[in-house]
Amino acid sequence: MSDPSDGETPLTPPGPPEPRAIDTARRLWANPQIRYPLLVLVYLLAIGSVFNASLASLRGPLESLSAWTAASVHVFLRVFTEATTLRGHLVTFDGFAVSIIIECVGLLEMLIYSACVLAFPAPIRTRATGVVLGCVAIFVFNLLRIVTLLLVGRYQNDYFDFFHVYFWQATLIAMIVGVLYGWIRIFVRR
Amino acid sequence: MKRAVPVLLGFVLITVALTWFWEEGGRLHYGRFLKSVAPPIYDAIGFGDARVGAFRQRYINWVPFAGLMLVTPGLAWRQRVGGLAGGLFLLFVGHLALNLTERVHEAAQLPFVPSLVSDALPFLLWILFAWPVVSIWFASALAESGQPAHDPSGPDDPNAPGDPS
Repeated sequence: MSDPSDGETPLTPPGPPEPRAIDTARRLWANPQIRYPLLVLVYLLAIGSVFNASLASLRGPLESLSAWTAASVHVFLRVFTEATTLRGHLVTFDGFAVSIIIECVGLLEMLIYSACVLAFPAPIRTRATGVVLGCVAIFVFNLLRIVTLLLVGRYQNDYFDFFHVYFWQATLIAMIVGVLYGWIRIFVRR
Repeated sequence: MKRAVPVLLGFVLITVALTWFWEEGGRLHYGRFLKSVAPPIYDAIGFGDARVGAFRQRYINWVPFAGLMLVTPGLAWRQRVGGLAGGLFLLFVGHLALNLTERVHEAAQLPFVPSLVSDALPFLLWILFAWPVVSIWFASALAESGQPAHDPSGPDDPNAPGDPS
């Protein structure tokens, strides 16, 4: 240990040194590249946990949402064709039927998107607007997704699983990124 | 907006190509790879009886990540390749972790929160690894909406994403 009085400059300022772990955590948190994804993750865990915990009480509204999604798909198709029917959650197009269950209404996408908006540095009202309008936009995109699936199922049945299970799951991120970017461009004000 | 169209088209094309590759054998090979690699890792961390493959439908989350990293314009090659390698490795770690969540949630359906995180992971990793570009997109979006553009890549920027104030 050197004595400052011998002419050398002390390497650390006086006072107790900060624990290295806290210092590292602070530096990481100060970096938006780390902070934003971490905040999204925190919001995602919070929203997901609350949603999961209240799933039993939400069963009714969620059932209504999937029925409403099915009805919206039916109404959309009716603009172009008469060859569509609706029975509860079941929509058919020219003989090809899909059942709209709760996993089909874009809920995961909406929750992920909401976490991204809530973690963004914007006024709370702007974030609230972003969550509501963005979820509506995702709902509309999801309608187009289901209509596409009906068309694929009717005309290219072999590719139905490919589009249903894999392709659309992979592109859900594009939907979230697109809606998030649109929200930032249109609504975010400092 | 015009710049976004080719990027979006590129993303769709790459996603379709990668999904086709995944469907045509990629997922089988990955499943075999995971089955040979995962058990020793689970053994080493004390979860020897963990089941591999319970979440196999979720393993496809590497596709949107790779798509985003490949189409993001303006990323240097080193950032792109390094980001892809780092992100794919973290997704692999995520798959290993995802299988473990089955142990604490023994329902017939996949646990909700882990599935949510798994689906969001490609987006979060893309933000992390493509930050030089993503930060500019965020800043330019703010600028185009009537605000001055800032470079939020610096840690001291008050407009940088992540500051919820």
